[in-house]
Amino acid sequence: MLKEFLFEVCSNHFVSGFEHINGDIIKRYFQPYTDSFEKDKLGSYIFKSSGSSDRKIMLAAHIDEIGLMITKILEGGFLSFISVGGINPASLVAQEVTIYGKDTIFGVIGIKPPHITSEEERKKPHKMKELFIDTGYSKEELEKLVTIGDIATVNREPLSLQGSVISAKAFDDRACVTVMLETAKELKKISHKSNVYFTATAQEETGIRGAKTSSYKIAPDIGIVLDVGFGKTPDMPSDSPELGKGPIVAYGGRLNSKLTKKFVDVCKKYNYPLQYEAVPAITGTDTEALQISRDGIPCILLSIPLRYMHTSVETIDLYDVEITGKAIARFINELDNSDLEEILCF
Amino acid sequence: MFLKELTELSGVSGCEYEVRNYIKSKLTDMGCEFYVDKLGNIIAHNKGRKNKTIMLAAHMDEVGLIVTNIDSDGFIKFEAVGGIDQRVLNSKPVLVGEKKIPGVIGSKAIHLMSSDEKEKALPIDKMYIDIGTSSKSETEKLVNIGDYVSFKSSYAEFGDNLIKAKALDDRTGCSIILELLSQKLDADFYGVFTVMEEVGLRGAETAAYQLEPDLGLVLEGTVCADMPEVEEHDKSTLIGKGAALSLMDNTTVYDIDLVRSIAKIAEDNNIMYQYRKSAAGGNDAGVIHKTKNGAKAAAISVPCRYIHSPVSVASKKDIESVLLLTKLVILENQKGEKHV
Repeated sequence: MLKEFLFEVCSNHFVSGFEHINGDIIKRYFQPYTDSFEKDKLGSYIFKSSGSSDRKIMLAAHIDEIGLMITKILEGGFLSFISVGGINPASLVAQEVTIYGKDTIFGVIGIKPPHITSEEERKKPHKMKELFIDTGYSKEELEKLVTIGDIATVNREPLSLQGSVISAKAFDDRACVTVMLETAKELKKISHKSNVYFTATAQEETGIRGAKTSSYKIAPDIGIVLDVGFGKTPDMPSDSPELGKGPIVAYGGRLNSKLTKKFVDVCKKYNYPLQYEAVPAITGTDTEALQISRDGIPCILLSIPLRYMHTSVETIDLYDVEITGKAIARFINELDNSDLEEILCF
Repeated sequence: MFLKELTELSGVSGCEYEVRNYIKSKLTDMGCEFYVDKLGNIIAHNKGRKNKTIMLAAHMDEVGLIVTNIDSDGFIKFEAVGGIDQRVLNSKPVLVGEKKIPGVIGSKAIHLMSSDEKEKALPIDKMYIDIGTSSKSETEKLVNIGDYVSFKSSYAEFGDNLIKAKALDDRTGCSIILELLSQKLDADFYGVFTVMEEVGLRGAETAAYQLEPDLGLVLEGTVCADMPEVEEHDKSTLIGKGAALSLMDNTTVYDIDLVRSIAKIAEDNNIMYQYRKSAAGGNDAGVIHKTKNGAKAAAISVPCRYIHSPVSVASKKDIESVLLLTKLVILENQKGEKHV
C-alpha cells in the first residue's frame, strides 16, 4: 500500500505553489486513517488523528516538488522556462516533460546532436536559458494551449529496482509523506492520547513557507520533521548514510537534544536501525520554520536516505520509509506514557 | 507501421539480436525471401522487374552503453557505444543486459556540487548505473562486464504529427524497408538491415560485398538541428520539410547526377524534399559506394531532432515522404522489360 501511494503521488505533480491541483490523492489515502482534515491558507494539508489528551504532536513532510515555469513561447513551438526550486539544468537535458496548460501537453527538452557539437562544448553543462521545451506545435497553435506562468514537470514513470529500492521524481519529500501514512496506519491500531497532526506542507522548496503557516495554525507541543537526506553514492565520503539502514537522526541547534535522545532510546529499545548526522546550523528543512513558530516548538528531524536529490531519478529504499513510520508510531506511544515536560525541561 | 515496436526494442551496436529477431519474424510473416550473413545483417530480396541491382540499407543498431566494471558497492561503470554526448545521460533510466535489469544513471545532488563542479559537464568515466543493489556480489549475480545497456524510452506521438522515441536513427529506415518489402512491388531490390553502423559502418561493408549493387540507397534517421539555440548555418535539415537528400558528409561525396535525379522524381510527384545542408556525420553509404569497383549511392533520410539521445523526435510526414520517394526511385530504376 505504501508503494502504491508513493508511486501514485509521484506520478502526479505538486509543484510548489500548485499543491492544490492533485490533493484528492492525498485525501483518499489519509482519510481512512485520520479523523479530520483541514488546510492552512497556503495549501498545506493537515490530517488530524484525535487523541484523548490535550497534547499536540505535529508531523511535517512537504508535499511540494521542484518544477519548471513557462516564461516564453517561441517560433517553431519551443518554450523557454525557469525553475521552481533548485534544479540542476544538467538533469533536464534529454528529458520528456508535461506542460500543464489548457490541456496537458507533451514536450521534450533536447540538445543539438553530437555531430555538430565540438569537444569543447560538450564539456560545458547547459544553463537553464540555453534549454527549450519542444512541443511540436507551431507558435500560433501553442499560444492557444499554453500561457506564460504555466508549470511543467519532467515525466518519470516510477521504477522498481532490486529488492525494495525504488526510483522516481519527487521522492523528496513524498517518501516522507508516505512515512506519515505508515505512522497514521500504525496509530489507527492503538488508542493514543496525543492528538497527532499529519501535515503535508506546501512550498518547502521555494522557502519553507507552508511549514510556517501550518505550524502556527496547529500550535503543537512538539514537532517531528521528516525530509530526505543524502544517501551514499560513489562520489560521496565512504562514511555517508546508506540506503536501507534506517532514518538519519539529526543533531544540532535546530533540534531539541532531549527529545532527539528520547527518540533514539525508543528506537534502540525496539531495535529500529538508525543512522546519524550532525547539522550545526541550517537544516534546509521545515525545521527552520517549526522551531521558531509562535513561542517555539521543540523538534526532532529524521531524514530518509536518498540518492540523486532533485533529479527525476531520486532513489530510496522503501524499507527505510516503512520502519521510520513504525518507529515514529512507537515513539508517540512511548511519549503518551511519559511526562513530556520532564523530557523537554532544560 | 512497425516503428513503435522497432523503437522499443534494444539493439545497441554489436547486440542487435532483438531487432533482428523482430524483423526476421515480420519477413517470414510476409513471405519474403531472406538470409542472415556472417556478421548478422539481414539480407531480404524482393523479386521483380530488374535492370540493375538495387540495395536498400537501414541499420538495426542504435547508440547505447556497455558495462565495463562493477564497483565495490555494486554500482556499474560503463562506456558509450557510438557517438553520445555525455550530457544526455544525466538522470536517465536504463535497461541493463539481456534480462533488462532496470537501473538509473543518477547525478550528484545540486546541493552537494561545488561551484567548480557546476561549471563542468560530468564525464562518462565519473558516471555509474544504480540498479538498487548494495554490494558487488549482488550486482554480479545480475550483470556482467560486456553487457549492453539501452535507454528506457517508449514511443509517443505529440504535437503536429511528431513522434518521440529512442533509436529513431535508424529504426525509421528499418520500418520503411519493411513497409516496402510488404508492398510486393514488381521491381527488384534487396532490403538490407545492417549491424554496427554506429561503430564504424561494419555490417554494410560485408553486405555490399555480397550484393555488389549498382545502386545503393541508404535510408537514415539524420541530423536535424532546427532548434532556437542553433545558428542558421548549422541547421542541416528541418523537421516536417520532407525527405533529406545528402550531398556530402564525412564518409561520402554522393553521385550528384543520382541525387539530382532523385530530387527530380520528388518534384515530379509533389513529394516534399530538402537537401541535407551539412557535411557532418556519415552513414552506410560510406562503405557501399566503395565496394569492389564502386557503386552509386544516395542517402534519403528522415530528419531527427535530438538524435543519439533517448528523446529523438521525427515527423510522421517526413517518414511518409521518404517511403514514397524511395519507392518511386526503385520503380524508376527498374522500368523495363527484364524480369528475373
